[in-house]
Amino acid sequence: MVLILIMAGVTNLSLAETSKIKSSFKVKHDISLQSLQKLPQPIRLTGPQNQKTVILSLSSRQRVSDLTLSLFVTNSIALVARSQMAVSMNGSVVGQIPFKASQPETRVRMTIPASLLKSGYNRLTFSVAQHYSDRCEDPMAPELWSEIDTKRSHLSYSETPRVIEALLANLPQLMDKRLIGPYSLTLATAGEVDDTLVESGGFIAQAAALSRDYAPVSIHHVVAEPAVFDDELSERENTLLSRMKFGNKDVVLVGTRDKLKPWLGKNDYKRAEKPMLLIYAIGEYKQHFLLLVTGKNKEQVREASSTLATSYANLPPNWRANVDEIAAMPAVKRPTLFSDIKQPFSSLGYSTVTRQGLLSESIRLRFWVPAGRFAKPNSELNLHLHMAYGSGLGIQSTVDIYLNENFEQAIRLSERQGAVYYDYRLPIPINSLQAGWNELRFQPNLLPEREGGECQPIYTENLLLTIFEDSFIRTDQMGKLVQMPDLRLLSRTGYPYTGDRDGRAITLAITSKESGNLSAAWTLLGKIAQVNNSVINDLESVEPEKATGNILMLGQLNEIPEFLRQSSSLGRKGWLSLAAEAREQTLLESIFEDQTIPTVDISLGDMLKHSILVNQFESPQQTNKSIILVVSESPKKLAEGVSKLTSNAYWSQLARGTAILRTDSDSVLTYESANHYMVGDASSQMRLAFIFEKYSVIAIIVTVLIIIIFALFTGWLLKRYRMRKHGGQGIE
Amino acid sequence: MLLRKKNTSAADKRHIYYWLFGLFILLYLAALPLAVTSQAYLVVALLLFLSITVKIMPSLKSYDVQNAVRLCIIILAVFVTLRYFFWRTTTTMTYVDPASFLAAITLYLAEVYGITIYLLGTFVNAVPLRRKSMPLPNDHALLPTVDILIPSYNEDLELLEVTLLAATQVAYPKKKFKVYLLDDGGTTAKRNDPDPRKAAEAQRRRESLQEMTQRVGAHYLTREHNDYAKAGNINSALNHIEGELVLILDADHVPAFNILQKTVGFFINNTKLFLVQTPHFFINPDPIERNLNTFDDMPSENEMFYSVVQRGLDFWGGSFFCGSAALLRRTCLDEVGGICGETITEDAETALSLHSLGYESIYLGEPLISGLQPETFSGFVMQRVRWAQGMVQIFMLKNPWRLPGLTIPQRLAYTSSSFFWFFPFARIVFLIAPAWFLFFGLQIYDANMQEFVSYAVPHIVAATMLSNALFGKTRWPFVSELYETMQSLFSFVAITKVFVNPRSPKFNVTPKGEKLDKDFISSLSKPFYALIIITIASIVVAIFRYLNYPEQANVAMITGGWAVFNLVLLLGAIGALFERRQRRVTPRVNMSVKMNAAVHVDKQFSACHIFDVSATGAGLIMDTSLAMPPESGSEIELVIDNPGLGQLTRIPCSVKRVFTSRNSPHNIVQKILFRMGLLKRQEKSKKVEIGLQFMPVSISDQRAIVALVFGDSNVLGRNFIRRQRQRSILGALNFLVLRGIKYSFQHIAYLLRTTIVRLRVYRQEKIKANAPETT
Repeated sequence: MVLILIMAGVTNLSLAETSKIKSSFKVKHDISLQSLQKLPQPIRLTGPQNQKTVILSLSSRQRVSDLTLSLFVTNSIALVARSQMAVSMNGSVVGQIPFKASQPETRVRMTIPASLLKSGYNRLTFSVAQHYSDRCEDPMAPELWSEIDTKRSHLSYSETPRVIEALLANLPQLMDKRLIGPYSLTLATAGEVDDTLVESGGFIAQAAALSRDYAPVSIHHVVAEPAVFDDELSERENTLLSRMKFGNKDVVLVGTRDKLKPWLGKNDYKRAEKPMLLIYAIGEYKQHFLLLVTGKNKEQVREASSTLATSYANLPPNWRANVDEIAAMPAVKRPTLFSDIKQPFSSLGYSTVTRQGLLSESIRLRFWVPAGRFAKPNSELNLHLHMAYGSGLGIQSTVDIYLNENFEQAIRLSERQGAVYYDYRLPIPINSLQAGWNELRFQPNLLPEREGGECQPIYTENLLLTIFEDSFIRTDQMGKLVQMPDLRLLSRTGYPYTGDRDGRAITLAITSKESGNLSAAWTLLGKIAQVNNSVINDLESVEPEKATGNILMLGQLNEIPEFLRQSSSLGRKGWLSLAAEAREQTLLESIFEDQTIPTVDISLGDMLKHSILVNQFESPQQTNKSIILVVSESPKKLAEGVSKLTSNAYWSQLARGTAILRTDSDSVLTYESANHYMVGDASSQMRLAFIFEKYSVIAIIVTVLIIIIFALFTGWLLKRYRMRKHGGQGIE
Repeated sequence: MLLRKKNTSAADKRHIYYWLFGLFILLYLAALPLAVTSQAYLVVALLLFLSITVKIMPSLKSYDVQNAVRLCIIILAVFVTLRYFFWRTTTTMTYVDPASFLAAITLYLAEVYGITIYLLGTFVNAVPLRRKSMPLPNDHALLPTVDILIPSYNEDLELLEVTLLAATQVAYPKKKFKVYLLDDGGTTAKRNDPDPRKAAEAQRRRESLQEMTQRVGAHYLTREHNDYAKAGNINSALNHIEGELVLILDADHVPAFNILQKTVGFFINNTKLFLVQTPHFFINPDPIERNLNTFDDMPSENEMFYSVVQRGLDFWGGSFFCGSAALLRRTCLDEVGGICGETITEDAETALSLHSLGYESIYLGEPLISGLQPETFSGFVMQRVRWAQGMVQIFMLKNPWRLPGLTIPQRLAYTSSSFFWFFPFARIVFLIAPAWFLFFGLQIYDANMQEFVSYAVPHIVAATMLSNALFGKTRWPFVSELYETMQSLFSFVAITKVFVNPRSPKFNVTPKGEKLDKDFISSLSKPFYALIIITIASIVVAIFRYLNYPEQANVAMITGGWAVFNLVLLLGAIGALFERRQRRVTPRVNMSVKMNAAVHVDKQFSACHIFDVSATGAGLIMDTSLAMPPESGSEIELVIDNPGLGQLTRIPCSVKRVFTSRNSPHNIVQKILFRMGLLKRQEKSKKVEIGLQFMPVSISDQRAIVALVFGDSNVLGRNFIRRQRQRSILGALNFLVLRGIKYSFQHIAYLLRTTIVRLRVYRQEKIKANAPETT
């Protein structure tokens, strides 16, 4: 049976300017709960009282209406009539669902008042009260459960744009990370696209991407051309914004002031003597922006772009500004785990947390581990916990410790009178860390002394656990070394792999400066900046032949220089098919493959018609440097492919040495490369230790052999010494 | 680099560079930081390989192959230790608070000391040299003249007489050697002592010794003053003698008849040779051996030095003079002004000085003297404290690294010998370190259980395996720890004084031949009581912490285990400090193989075997089916082909006791075992054991007795190796634990008993004292 509950009315669009927006701008969305936050399927709520919260983000540029929640709930048939679920939005109850044993499956559709929503993060909470008896009951009874089917449960809403004043300071809101769905930014270049302009575009792409935080940004390059106007008057006054032909899109226009002259007013042109940023509202209802990045020459344009990237969230509340008027933005610091120093939890953004009750939520600590510092094989991550727990806990009470959802250790809370540990030490193998974000989760399992049962009251107020913020974490010294190729590192920690994110150069090499290639390069750069969480300051664009250092190379396969092609795994056997190459993997590798290897031979050229290929290999010119090659058949295919690849669903699938993303497929195929190499600035000893870790058995055998050889050689030397020194003096 | 520069060829240099390169690779690998699991795999593999090589080494026949395997064992064990050391240095030293850091540094330095000595020890003992004696030329004219010097201070006359008798009858052309008794107890200064009693005593001693030396054919020498103790005594004598070689014997060191035959030959062939040192073979147990009753079951503590270490030093040209049982070239001694006296270990100091002049030394591992060890623990401590102070003096005043002329191996060898004596610092730290954490919570060792098991435990296991492989036959595992623990408390104070004033120590003569009439507790026991109490309290706190502080469980377990090990050592120490009554006045020498002899009674000769002898008597076995045994109390003659004289000798004796088959101790034991069902068949022996007391009537009788007891170097050699048997690490630990527990309990029981008796006496005295008042 379908139960429809309407708890509130539709949002009243009260703002005057919004009412002007035509209904054609209204876009309907229908998304499953599961896709909102990678929620588990299903959400299971157990015990007499429990709740789960789902976060719904809303951008300032969005106005939501007609928000409806379709919920599929299944409850235990043991539940009695007073059991129920309450749904609330930002603390206000928007609906209640009674649980009935006779109707265990319930489908509910409820309208959520738009007035309850706000820009930013909205909390959609599901709270349950579950009982199997009207009298005494055992709160631990397994019958106390209900489930929300997150796949079938949907949120549907209509979205209309909200106009935001076109000011430079509002750029972060205009390129908001909470904008749902893919975000496309048009990057228009005026004049010939040379390397400096490519770099400028790269900075602008990074600014957009960083403003969007983790949300994908797809950059679309166009060549800016002034509109052709019919009348002379317009020709003279073609700086009028209303006459520009960019359509309903967010646009960044980049070029020297001379090239952008058609779009600049006289004063603007004059002010563009120095690097300058300008913003205008465009579109039918001025719901989009046009950002001009310009200067007197190409270098000034690059400077303006670079400033935009480094100060996008600190721009002045003006529609126009020269870069010398823009204050530098404080660097964003991630809670990064450093090696060999004492790091209080507070320095990782953690505040003291107390948990109470039977089914307490986990206590979480998130921190970032750079790829470069992950390589050292030595030793452990040592937790020094300052923690306390209440008295009267059952002997089975524990705190389970998970690192990246792998169970590591448990702390037994066995003191009946409770305890305070000032320095509870927990070593965790450093190998459990992963490059990028890591999460330590402390899962309290606080059980009362009395096990309960019917009419056996359980007191849960005393079930307390606190982990204090002055607890600290210390890792043994880690080196800067990674074994390559490993595209997973690109996905998780960005590029370059072991260097500092903000100071090291990436050389961008594009085979031809066609729009598709440029769009792909800038989109990819934006994604890398997002993963790096910082701007790649020393970005340099060069011809592929001249590229050195850590190279990001995009283009078409036949335009890639031969020597680079030969160095890549693609060139290893000429143009043999990847499929055939994959079949040559060892038996063990093939057994443990988690990807299905295509068994049909297809040529690389044919394959690239429908795919993009990402290959990682060591630079033939410089050791310790990597080249990431992204190729497709055509610039257009490349732009489409990279845009798809940089979306979160595919980006996280990057792994191993070679990855192929088919435009008609939902998965990324990955292949191991034969040529392994190491990247990092670790000492030779560290490198040796790294090899020792990787190939322990061989290393141990070699060590023993070295000892034997050394012993034999020493014995031979000592025999010579003995014969010479003591020969003839009565030695036996 | 290993050789003197002038002897080093280009090829040698190249080989040494290769070797250094190999060493660098090994050190590089040893310092490689690895994850705990990888380290665990590595050490398991290395220990496995180590145990295999240790197992196969004794079965190898070829000397060179055995040496190669021996080096393999050493390098494997050292590699494991170095891995521990690098890890220990780079990982476990963290600053927590000042007190913890100070404690951690102290413990670390103690470990650094231990590892340094361990490495030096492996270097010294890498390839011990085995020498055989050099034959003498048949032409006596080619033989050098020898002066046998016997320095004396306050030893018993009987003891000196035995040494003099043996020295005057060594097998060497009579014209080519002279024996001198160097009496420091009868110097002019002593005879003019302000105390008339002491002066008279010195005068009496001088006269008695003059008479004795005249009687045995030796020479008496004394001097004006007692300056520079033993060194001064010998140097004074050097002014009166002219022999080319000097044999120095302690007063209680009775030489075998062939001591010169075995040693002089080395000097004839090597003009650069200044020393031939031979082992000090002791016929009585040291006090620790006697009190723990280990003398017959376990190799002596000093055997390792004379059986392995001196051989190892000899390989590197660094075997040194041990004060006695050594032959020295006179001209060399003159070159350094005689025996050096700057330190109180004049022997090692003299050798060091001569080595630095480019002279060579040789160690001949055959025992050629029989000596006595101190009987009491206080005498033992006095001896060891002198050694410790002297060697520390050498380290400070004549540091081998500052002395020119020594080769690098010699410098390392002397460093090993002198630096070893710093052990009291480390040993005391190891004894009290667990309490630092357990009582005060000081964080002295920053490691978790997995790391400890992966690094520290393999290091301990490898070091113990190596020690057992190199020295197992001559010193069982954990014996060093016991002896060092017992000495450390007293040596610590003594060597601290040397640090304050390196020239302060005075030479103290080790008391020998003391008589122990009854059981008593050594006066040096009190510090050990305190340590035992601290250690037991540490163990209790460890258990408490383990049970009540889950986060400290691992550390409590490690430190608690460490405290238990310390307790084992301390119990052994306490057991050894319970001094036993010494029933036998003169030590007995086991003949090792039965010596044929005959008993002459009433003009009849009855064949018998001698199984042991002492300076006062002998034990015989006689077959009653062939002849009637003599009666107890009867006077007989023991006829024997005396190996110490090379002729038939007759020794007048008195029969003290005859053990028939019924009352023989051997048969009593048999009977008990038979009744217990442990023996299937009780032997009906027809042999009797006879205890004889020597009744010498002439000096030739005395000479015959001395020759019989001490003259045969073959007997000494057999006895030297008789107790050299290996035991597994756990077996040795078990042995020491059981002995320690047994004798420490006896110690405690005796202490309680005597305390109760004292209390009773005190109470009775109090009652008596109060009695008149009440009446």
